[in-house]
Amino acid sequence: MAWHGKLLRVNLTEGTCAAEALNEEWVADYLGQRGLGSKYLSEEVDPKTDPLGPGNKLIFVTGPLTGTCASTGGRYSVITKGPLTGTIACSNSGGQWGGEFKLAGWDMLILEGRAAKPVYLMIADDRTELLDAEGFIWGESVWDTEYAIKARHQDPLIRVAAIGVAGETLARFACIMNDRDRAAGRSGVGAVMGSKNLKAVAVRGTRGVKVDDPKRFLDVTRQKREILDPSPARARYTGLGTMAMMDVTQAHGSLPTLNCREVQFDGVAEVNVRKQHTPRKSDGQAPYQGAKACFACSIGCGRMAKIDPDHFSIKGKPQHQGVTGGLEYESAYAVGPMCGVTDVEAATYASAVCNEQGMDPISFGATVAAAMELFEAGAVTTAETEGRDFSFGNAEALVWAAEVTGTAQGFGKELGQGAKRLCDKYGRPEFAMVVKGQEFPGYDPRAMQGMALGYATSNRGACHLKASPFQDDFQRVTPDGKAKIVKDSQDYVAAVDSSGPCTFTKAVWQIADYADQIDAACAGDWTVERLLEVGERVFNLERLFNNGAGFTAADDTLPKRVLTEPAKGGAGKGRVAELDKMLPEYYDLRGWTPDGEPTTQTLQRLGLA
Amino acid sequence: MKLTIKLISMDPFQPAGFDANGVGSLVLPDGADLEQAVTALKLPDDVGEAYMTLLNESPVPIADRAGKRLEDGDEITVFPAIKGG
Repeated sequence: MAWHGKLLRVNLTEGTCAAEALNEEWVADYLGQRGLGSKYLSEEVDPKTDPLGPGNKLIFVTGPLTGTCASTGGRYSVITKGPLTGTIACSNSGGQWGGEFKLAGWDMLILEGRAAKPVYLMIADDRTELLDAEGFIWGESVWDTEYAIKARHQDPLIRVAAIGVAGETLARFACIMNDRDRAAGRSGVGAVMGSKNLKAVAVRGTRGVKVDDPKRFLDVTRQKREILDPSPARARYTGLGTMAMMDVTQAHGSLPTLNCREVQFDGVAEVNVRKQHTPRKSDGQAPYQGAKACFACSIGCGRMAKIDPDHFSIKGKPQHQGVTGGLEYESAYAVGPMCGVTDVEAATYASAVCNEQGMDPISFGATVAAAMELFEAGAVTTAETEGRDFSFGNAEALVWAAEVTGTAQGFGKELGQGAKRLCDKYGRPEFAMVVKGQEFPGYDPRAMQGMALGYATSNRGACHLKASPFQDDFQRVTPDGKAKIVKDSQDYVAAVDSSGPCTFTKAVWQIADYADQIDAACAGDWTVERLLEVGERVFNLERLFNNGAGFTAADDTLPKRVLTEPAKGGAGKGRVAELDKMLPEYYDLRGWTPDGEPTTQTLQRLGLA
Repeated sequence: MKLTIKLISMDPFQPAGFDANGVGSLVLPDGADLEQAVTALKLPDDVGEAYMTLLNESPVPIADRAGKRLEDGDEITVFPAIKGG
């Protein structure tokens, strides 16, 4: 229960849509979302396949709590082989789309092949069809695509997951966007969708979701809300949003700044949460306009913002002059401190363009930061930037970069390849702040040794969401004990990522809180132990996929800068990321060989042999 | 002794006498430790999260606060253990 037992398989080459029974054994072993999608991908896709070729598949998958009244239970994941990294990619989104898809009677969607011409998929409960996108929405922004589909089908309650122009041009960090400003944001899943000539998946659902024990489920989910809703953490996410983190990393000395040359940003007061809540002189309004919640969410962390009507970035651009998705911490760090930009309006605009064109603002901002360092080093010149000064801190350069990257105009096409390929091309690979080709999120690993290990071993490249060492990292800057914290939290996160709720509930809920809700929703005995075993199995399955794709222990590393250049300030002053002191213990705890491969014994223990 | 306190990302919590940036001072008897300082701040009930502390910019684990002697003029930074952004 909590499952419809049904997936939709769409062969874009053949133009067919077919219902198929969900593999219940795999549900039992891998749960949903990240776990179940990874299992299907591993079974159906050669790890060595070209991520942007027709042999790759794109899987949209829900969790057991998706579409239910469990708080934040509206998440879905997109699983594929990622074009930014070549690893397995798992990207998770909120908004309304996941819940709507589940309400339409589907658990999962598998997209395979490549359409001969641009199409979009329309799902209305059992009715599924591929429709022409060319001359309709191909070439349009995420926002116009959503509007056009709702208008054509005369239903404002249709939910749309779409790529923007960045996905069409195969920018390697293109997102799949839904509900205007929510994103399956990382690892370039939008480029895979673009490579398949698929513009959007629109869905309208009226079927509902059945759970195993409705009364118990209502009681349990109510109890969990009674824990979540009054907590200070929930209030902070609602009141300040994720932006609360910027002052923390600044104080701690883990705010990546100027492409990780620095760990604290002198201009932080110009882009932090207080700035966003402070009315400006021009129109008396603050950039921050209010909070937004996703499906069934009782947190409401999403930021809505309005750009200064007098700001140069939005002149003549009516689509940017109203209230729009605002800066979250990760986007703000990347287009702010990482690029040295102190113009909060330009930063908000750059982030909004990422939403409009469907780009990951983390990878975008970190790539622009790398380009700025290339420019200052003379490797990139005004010939590439069309005469612009591309130095750190130049807000006009950031705005220009945002506008040309998704559309792949000129130098924008190079930016759309991500920091690694950009820096390789211009002969300075050391400027790319990436792991396995994916750009850093907003935590400098020198003051956060657990995060250093988490970045290095994340199965999708540098990621702050696949391990949770925050609490310990903010207390201790030494590497001892981090291996176990990272390993255990990676398994825990993999379990939560396979369940349906938002990762931010982890700030309050413990693993038993998820197990209780899953157990009430699903037939079967879902204990804490079983859930954590699923998490460990999922993490190892992803690792096997990556090993099959050719990744080895040598790829579990960090940029030379954070391994050799000590932090200049903050809690980690004088420190580098001490990976060599953590990785051997981590591999041992994982039951992996020194070469980073799961041993036969480990695979047998997890049922992966 | 007089201590400088910086409260980070704690809005809307603002003790009396603290400015809008969360900066204020705390007076404690000589010999007080970090745990006593944190307790004296009467932070909001920490359901499901803990408060982190930096003493003169160096992190002090929660378990080490008791017994961490303070000196006049010390700067204590306090922030919630936000788990991700």
